[in-house]
Amino acid sequence: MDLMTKLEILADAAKYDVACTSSGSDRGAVRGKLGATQAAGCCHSFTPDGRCISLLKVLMTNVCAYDCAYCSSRCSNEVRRAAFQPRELADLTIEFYRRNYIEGLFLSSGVLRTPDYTTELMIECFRILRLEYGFRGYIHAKTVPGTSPELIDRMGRLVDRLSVNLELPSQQSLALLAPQKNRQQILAPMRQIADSITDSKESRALMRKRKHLYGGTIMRMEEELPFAPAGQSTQMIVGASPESDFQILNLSAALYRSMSLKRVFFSAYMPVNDDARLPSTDAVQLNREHRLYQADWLLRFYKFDVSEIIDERNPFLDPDVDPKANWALNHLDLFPVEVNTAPYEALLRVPGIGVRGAKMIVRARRTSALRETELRKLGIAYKRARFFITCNGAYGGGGVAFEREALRSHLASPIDGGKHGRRADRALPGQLSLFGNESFASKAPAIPAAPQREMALANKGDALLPEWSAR
Amino acid sequence: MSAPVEPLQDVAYLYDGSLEGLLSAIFLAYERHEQPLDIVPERLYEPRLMQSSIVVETDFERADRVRRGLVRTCGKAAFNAVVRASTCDGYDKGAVIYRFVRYAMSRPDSLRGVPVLDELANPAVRELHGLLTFVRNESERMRQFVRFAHLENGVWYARVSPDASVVPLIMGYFADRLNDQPFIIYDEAHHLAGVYDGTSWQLVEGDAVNVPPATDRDRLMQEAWKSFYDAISIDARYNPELRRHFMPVRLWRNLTEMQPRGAAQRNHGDLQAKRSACATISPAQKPAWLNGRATDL
Repeated sequence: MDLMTKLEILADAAKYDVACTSSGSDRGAVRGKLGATQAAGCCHSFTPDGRCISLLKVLMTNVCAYDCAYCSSRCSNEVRRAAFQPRELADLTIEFYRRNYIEGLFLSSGVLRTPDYTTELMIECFRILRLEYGFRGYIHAKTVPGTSPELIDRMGRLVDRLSVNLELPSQQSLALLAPQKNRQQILAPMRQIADSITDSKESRALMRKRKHLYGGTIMRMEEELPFAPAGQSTQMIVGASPESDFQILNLSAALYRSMSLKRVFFSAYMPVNDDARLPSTDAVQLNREHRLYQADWLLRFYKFDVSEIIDERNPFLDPDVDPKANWALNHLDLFPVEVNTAPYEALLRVPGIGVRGAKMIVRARRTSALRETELRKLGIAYKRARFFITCNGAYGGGGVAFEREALRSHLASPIDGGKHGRRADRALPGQLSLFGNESFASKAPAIPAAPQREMALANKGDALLPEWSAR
Repeated sequence: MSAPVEPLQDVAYLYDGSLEGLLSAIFLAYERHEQPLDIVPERLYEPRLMQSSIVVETDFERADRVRRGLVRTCGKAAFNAVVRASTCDGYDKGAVIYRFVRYAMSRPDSLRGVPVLDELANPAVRELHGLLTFVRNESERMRQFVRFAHLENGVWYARVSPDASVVPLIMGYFADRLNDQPFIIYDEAHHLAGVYDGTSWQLVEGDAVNVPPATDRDRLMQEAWKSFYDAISIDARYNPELRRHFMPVRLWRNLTEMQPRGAAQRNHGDLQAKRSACATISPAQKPAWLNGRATDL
């Protein structure tokens, strides 16, 4: 099989992996070696679905011994199978990198023979890239569930970011949809990676201090390398199983807390297989995924606690209002805040002011008082923010009653997902249809009905979350 | 020094388009005690009604005095901001930079401790930040979307057409990461090429670049990249508006993956025809203050 066909098959099989980011690692250039990374990462292209291509995202092989219900490469599917030779893939990465097509390599894999055998193939590819070619670009590796800890340790020294896919938000769902994977296989390497990252950071800090004391000590090459300097991430499929947003967000908050993950990715479930265990809908919950990411940003950049975003009584995020606006509407007693004096943390909580806007305000107000005109020029979303701020004592949200429902109607913003694609939950509840409801009901049970069904299921299952987050 | 002249009321300064020319114009405004409304490159000038104009002679000495003055009062960061902003194409960039320099040189004493660039609420500073944001975005786009092709003579060649002349700002970035790989980035919109020979880079001005065709291996890699691009997209999430938002259509013509499938990148076919015009390349002086990383974003 020629390289082109392999690339096509293995890129196609990797496309449902979400994490194509090259951030978190800042490694300057070294004379004579190819490549560098920058902390913010770099997107090199964008696919027709608007997602970024930052890394050469492929599978080592799509041959797989497992039979996970949601996966297109599962062993019971009849698809073309292929596998890269480690050197072949390393060469391709270098070729693409030299042309500035990519920022590095993203490598995941199906399970070929055993998890360890597969991981050894991946490690060989990284070894060629890092140690033989001296490649200093970004490498992101997905661990194969069931890999032995020694191999994970070796792999971690060669890559920037390691991730273990959580796959599904609860153990029950995992047992149902991916019977060959289990909780231990996923959480144990996650914990191991988290610990290794901490150890590596500490010991390298020590080594830096002691360098001149034991200058003559020669260490093995691989020990010198930091363990996954760009940290750890994970991903889970949303919408293939009945968990609520409440459970998902609590799970990701717990992961950020206890595993110090860099990112938790959500992937709206895409129907690729016909399987009785999967939801029988072709609705892709893109809007739900969007709201989950907004909530995730609040956790990571806006200093929100997960209990402020969502509670058990309303276990799904509001489809009409974004989570931050929703929080503000529920805490009107804290507003309005005065932009010229409010602390940075309070500004971050104002709908319409983001991290960048809040920093700009703090920077600008040192030298002059900010009024409406200045604020508008700074580039914050004044239209939304005006209800929650005063500028030098002046309130700009006049004409709208300062109470929940009135403000909500002004802040409601349906997600604009473009004019194309299959946002099957576009049909709003209560919307009239020219055609009989019969034909649609079968095709798109979609979001309005889904939460109730999911809530019923979720309540039936006994506390799914503690199962996951228990150490 | 020339004899004192009566300051003109409504005047435009016309300069040659270079940073040195612009700084000379700013010097002239101080010298003549004038407040020019427009400072524009001579070839772009569109006179306002009843407006008089003065053609400014580019004078490196005077330009450097403006540089030194700005660095003395506001620090290197402010001058670097001016250099970066001056790579913009906008008609009013000269006036914006002039107003910024005027303000920065005569700030009230009470603000001495605050960097001038932090005064985001001040119109003069804010306008400069507008230019800076534009240049920053354009540089980032070039870092993202430059596509090198490997030519038969061993050089890696990329053609770009940015909306600001940012090639000098991205050369250091590519030279660092590509390291021993000699490359040329040719900016067809500003007729400026950055040339890196594997150890150092310089700028070359020219109307056309004559390059040999890409190697067979390179054509194969271009096809491989295109098929990767096609395979990695999920049809069920098709959202072309979002793609256009991140990757504007104006940049597509230099992107390998947006070329028709099966066709080698066009930047070689049409340049073959220009082979005769290649003699027009002439080395240009790299401005001294572009040396080093200070101007890298």
